[in-house]
Amino acid sequence: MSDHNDDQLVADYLRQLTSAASALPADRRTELVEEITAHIAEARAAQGPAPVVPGILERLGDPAQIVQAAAEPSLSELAAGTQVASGRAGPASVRIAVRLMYLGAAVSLIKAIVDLATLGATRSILVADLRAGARKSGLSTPAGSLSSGATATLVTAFVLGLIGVGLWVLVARASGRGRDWARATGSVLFGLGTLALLIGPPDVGIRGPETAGTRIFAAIIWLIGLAAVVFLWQKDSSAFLKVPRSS
Amino acid sequence: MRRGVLPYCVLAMLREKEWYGFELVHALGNIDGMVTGEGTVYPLLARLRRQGLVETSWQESATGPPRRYYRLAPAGRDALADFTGSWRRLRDSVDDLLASSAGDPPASPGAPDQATD
Repeated sequence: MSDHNDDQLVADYLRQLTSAASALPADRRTELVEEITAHIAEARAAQGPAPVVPGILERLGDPAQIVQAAAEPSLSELAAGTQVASGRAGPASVRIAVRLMYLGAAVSLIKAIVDLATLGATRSILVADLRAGARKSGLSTPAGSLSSGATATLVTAFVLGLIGVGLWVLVARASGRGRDWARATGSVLFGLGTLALLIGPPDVGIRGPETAGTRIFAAIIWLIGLAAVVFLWQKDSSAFLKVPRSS
Repeated sequence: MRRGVLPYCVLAMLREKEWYGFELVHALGNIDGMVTGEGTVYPLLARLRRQGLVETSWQESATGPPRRYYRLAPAGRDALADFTGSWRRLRDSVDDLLASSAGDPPASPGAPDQATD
């Protein structure tokens, strides 16, 4: 068996592989052909002076079969596998996004609690605000109702804050489990959050006290949201979140 | 079934040491019933790379072109740990099922068991 013959066999094999791989994206095709070429070279070297090239090619298998393995929906097997195994995992980008969202939930919770804790200071500002608003519109409002109005605003803000925390956790869990709606929901919520940050909370004429602290908190939460959304839209995340699941 | 398990077998092999492509693929090819064609392992390795479950580095070889070495990434270690747990549970359950149905058939369709009819 001459070397020339062997080279011919290898060339034919690689030609078949290249042609079978024409359906693959160019970079994957190139990579695959390079790896198989390197494999054949290694195998021939490993067998010493008289390598059995037909045997090497036979062990490699039918080029069409190799290409089929490369063409399988990327990730589906393994993502579905780790899904079943753990209920979490997924690619690194998704796991980072999930962690960020839990962080967002934690910071939002802290913000809601801090807002409530500064109730005293906040309330007097709100009452002043309300009084000014009432005076402007020519209404005379008893002090008691102003004060309870302020309390109601704060309680509402706290409840809204808690709902926000719940949404963070909901989207984080859904993303970690590879639910495809999680990303859309997260992105829409982030968009709404951005709007709220730009135009202020949808209060009825009353604006909450804008201290430097609350603004910094809001900015931190917004940045966490931005980072989470960016990670959710990474290529790896897309593949993981688009995998159809039977369960 | 084999195709679903193969990625984890690769991850398990990488637990102790780094392998380069040919070495890893050839070793898998030597395990009875593990792969249908050694060539099909390369797309799998590419997938594990893209998923961040393995990391690779090129290293010079004394005998030929540089080799791509594979090692387990932290995410791969996690995935393998998860798989190990569920695999053992599944294996035990299947073993139990196979053993009991081989021993005495509890409700085999051929057995007339209608004494109280």
